[in-house]
Amino acid sequence: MAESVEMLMQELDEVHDAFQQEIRGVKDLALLDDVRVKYLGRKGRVARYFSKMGQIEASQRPQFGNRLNELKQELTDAVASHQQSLHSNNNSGPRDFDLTLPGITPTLGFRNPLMIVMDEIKQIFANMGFTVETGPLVEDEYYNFEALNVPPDHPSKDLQDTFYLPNGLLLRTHTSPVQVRTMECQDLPIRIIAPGRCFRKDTPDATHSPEFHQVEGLVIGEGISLSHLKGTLVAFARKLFGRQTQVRFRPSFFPFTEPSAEMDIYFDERLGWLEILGSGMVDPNVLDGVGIDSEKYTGFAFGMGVERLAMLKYRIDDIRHFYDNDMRFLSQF
Amino acid sequence: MKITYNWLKQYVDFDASPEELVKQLTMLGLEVDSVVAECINFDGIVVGHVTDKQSHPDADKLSVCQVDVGSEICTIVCGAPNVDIGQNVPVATVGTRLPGGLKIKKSKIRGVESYGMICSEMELGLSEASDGIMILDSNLEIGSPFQDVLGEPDYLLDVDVTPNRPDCFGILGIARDIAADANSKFQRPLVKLEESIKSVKDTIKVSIHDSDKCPRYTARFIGNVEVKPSPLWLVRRLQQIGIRPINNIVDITNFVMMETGQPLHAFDYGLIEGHEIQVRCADDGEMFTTLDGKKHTLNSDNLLICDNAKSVALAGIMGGQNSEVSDKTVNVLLESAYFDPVNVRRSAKSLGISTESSKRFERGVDPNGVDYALDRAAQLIAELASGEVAKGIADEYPKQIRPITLSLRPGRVKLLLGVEVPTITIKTVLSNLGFGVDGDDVLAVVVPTFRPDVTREADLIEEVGRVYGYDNIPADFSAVVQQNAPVHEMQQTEALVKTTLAGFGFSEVVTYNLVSKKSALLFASEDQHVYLINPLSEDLSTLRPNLLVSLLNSVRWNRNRSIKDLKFFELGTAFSVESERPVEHQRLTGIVTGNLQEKSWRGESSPVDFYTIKGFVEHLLQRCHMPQPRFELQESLSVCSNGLVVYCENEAIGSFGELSTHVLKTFDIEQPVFYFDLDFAPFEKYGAGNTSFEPIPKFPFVHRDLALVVAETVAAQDVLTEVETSAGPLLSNVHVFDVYRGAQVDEGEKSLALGLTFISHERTLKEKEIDKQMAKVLRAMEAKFSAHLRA
Repeated sequence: MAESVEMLMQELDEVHDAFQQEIRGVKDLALLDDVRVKYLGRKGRVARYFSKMGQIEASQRPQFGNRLNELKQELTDAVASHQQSLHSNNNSGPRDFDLTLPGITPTLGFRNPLMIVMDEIKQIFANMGFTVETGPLVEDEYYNFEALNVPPDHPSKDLQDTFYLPNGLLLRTHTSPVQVRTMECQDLPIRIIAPGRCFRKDTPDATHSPEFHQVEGLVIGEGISLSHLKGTLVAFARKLFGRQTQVRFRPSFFPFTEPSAEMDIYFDERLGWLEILGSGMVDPNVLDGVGIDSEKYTGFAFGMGVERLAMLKYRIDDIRHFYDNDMRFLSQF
Repeated sequence: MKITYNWLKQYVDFDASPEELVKQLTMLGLEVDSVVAECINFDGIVVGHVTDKQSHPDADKLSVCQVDVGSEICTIVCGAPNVDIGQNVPVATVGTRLPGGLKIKKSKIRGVESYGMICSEMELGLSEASDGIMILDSNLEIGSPFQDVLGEPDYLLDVDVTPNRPDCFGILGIARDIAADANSKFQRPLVKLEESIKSVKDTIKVSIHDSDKCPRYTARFIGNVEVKPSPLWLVRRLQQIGIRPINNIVDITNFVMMETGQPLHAFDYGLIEGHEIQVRCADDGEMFTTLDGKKHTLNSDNLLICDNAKSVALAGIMGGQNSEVSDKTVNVLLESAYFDPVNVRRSAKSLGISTESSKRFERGVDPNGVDYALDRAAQLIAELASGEVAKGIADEYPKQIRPITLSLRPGRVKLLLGVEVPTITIKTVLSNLGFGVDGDDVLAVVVPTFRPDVTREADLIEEVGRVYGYDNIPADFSAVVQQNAPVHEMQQTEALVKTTLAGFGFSEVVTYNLVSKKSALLFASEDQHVYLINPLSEDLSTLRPNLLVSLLNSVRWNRNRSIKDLKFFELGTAFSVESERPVEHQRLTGIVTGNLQEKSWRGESSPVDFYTIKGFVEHLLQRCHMPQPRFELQESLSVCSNGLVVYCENEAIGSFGELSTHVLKTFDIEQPVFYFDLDFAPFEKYGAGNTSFEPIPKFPFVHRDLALVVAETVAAQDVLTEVETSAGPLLSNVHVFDVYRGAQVDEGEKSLALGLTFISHERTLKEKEIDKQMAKVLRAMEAKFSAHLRA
């Protein structure tokens, strides 16, 4: 019985697919030769169809023959090229294309880690509903000290050695003057942070810098208590240092807050508790000084050193790194 | 304030371990800076008794001693001049390792065998220096361990006392806080004084001439004192807290100061002429020599303690050499006073003296505690110097300072702390702290005069809060609103500018606003600068006129470390003088130097040049949605060669270009540096949030190139502008892709190759209509610039 040409043609397609399937998984030359023999050998699957030529109706022979020859050529080529690719893989490519050469470095710009942390702090407070306020770096005695309940000739001034300019001006020693300026002109309730540069007459060393950054915060409203202060700052610390961060508040002294508290976080076994910010309930003298009724309104304020936070976060051991701007430092962040 | 664990235990009962005590103090607001265990190993060191002393046969300065150490009598060669028969001394026996590490062995010293060592305090690690061997009390048991002589091992605590707590500059104040924390009443040591029949009135007369500066002055007379070294316990105590022992009288005044917080001064009564104390202000220009031998020129603000003929002390700050207690002193005049805090502070500051005494007076001692401290010291002088204390106190108190009374509303405590503290607890806490408390609804609280910091209700609430415990106040998150605040526009612009520049490969630097005068002068003349009155150094003496100074410092820093390819920017403040007050400007400044890209094995690094910085500026402005800028040649600045001024909407917003070599030389920079320096305000004005989408053309664009030859003098910008006007509305973009001079182009001419892109949003463009436009362009070029096509 003559087999139908259609069926044979379909079988050829099946052979082709089976071959492709098989050769794809071949990873070495010995296996490749097995595949070659299986399909293209004298008794291989392709040879079998050449022997069937006689059974095909003469009129259809050329068509079948062409297809068969095509298939044989296709498979032969495929084996050859697969062989070549196996060879070249073993020799790791042509000699002028060394894949192990390093890639070309793109032009990279880095951000000073101090500013990264500053942005992070701003973002955390922005998400809590705080707006950002700024103020001048050149201040006067009133905004930097007096309005903040630091009288002239008071020992608490010793805590902040000040740079003075002519005409009774000075470089602000903290961002707290922004508190006063905000209270003077904003309606209540107030919820702000004031990030920025500060100056103190400290000789630069590993932990001191005559210029540094603070982020100040101020919340004023009715019924604001130390308990709210704790809630806000605990939330902040856990955002910045991680959800498991242990936090404690301990009494302290600042002229512009009463009661005052410093916040510590538990850092690690070796360093233990570390102070990260100062805070407190806004002193009634400060509120009264800007014309806010301290009987009706209460509030809390806080201030943190950004350098210190960045040093803790990245375990930087010397504050001067931030200001030297050594590329070997900057390129780590 | 340095205290020790064992010392504190003498005043207040507590069970806390040293670690617990540190925590307790810290949570009371008395932060402990450091705690150090005194762990000196005294094994093998015993109390010995010197039974015999002979000169060494071969050395003048050595003596050969026989020392009874209990178990045996040892021969010990000793070099100390003060060793003598009959003394009890600490002996390190053979085999002992001294605290300093030295191991005691049997040895031959100049031919004489020595079995051990008689020790000095320094050798035992008890002090930093000593004159000779340590001499122990004569009633000690011979052979007993030296450790027993010193008592239990102690812990040294350094308490960081905040400026508002003058009471804690004496250990009694700290003890009072600890007692209150443990809810027990505090009682300061009782003083029992045996007075002689001699009345103080017959010995001392005190008169105060300025009662504002000296509201109270008290004094006692103590006769027939025996000035000698203090007993071991006192010497040890002072050494532990870092005070050098001098003699028993001075040591007692120091000890009582550290105990009560009240500074005292002992005068040699014999040197007080007329036996009279006058408290008066100095005359302008009056000289005074303090105990330390320094001469000071005084003014009429400085308060002096004087006798009938001379000044004997700078009140509250330091005594004088002319009346100090010495070996020859027989009678002592002991002073305890209250001086005005502000005046002491001013005087100490202006004279540049800071003493343990001035530190306490300027924070405020207890005006009603001066007599207690006086009696306490008198008692110790009677005990340790066998002094005879005259009857009574000379007490001048012209300005009585009485306790104030404050109202405290328990409801206000709840409002401020956010927690309900029972009224009974409030009352207990305050009374344990030494406050008088009366009433129920509104408490009437009498503030003791040792707490000058408490003047308002809020101050009382802090006292309640810190003893009640900040840990016991709940954390309330309700003030933290969930709703996001609108992001300040400036913050958005700042973020856009910074990310754009970082994307260009610029690194953000943070630099000092303070720079050297020398570098500031490069950019502006002397009268345009803001100088500090009290700079740290010349290098940090001037507020920067621009950010370039600071950025160049950063370039120098890196270049000195062989890092030469740099792109820096900073957003910061520059200062100028426009009126009495310096004006602050927010500037965005960048600097580029070296190679554009890191050198790679492909060797494709290229040095930055003018067009690099120009490209950065153009694209920065574009990315930040600034209006189309206009650049004009910069003529006025000498700091810059090849500089352009940037205009936006006819407003000059800054400049860019190449810095001149004389500027770079000042910073030791020997490679070209390009900069941009822009005012940040326009960025905020035009800045963020103006991005809106433009549809992407649906129809293909047509691109044409044009190579024009024009005279060298023709500016590319003019050519581009003319192309834009002449090419019609279909032109979407024109750019220069080549500039050529040389073969085929005549001398004095250049060839500009322009790429023109045409686009329509409505249809596919036909070649013909573009040909027409190109012809128009070419005609315009010919007419305007005498340009011709390049052959």
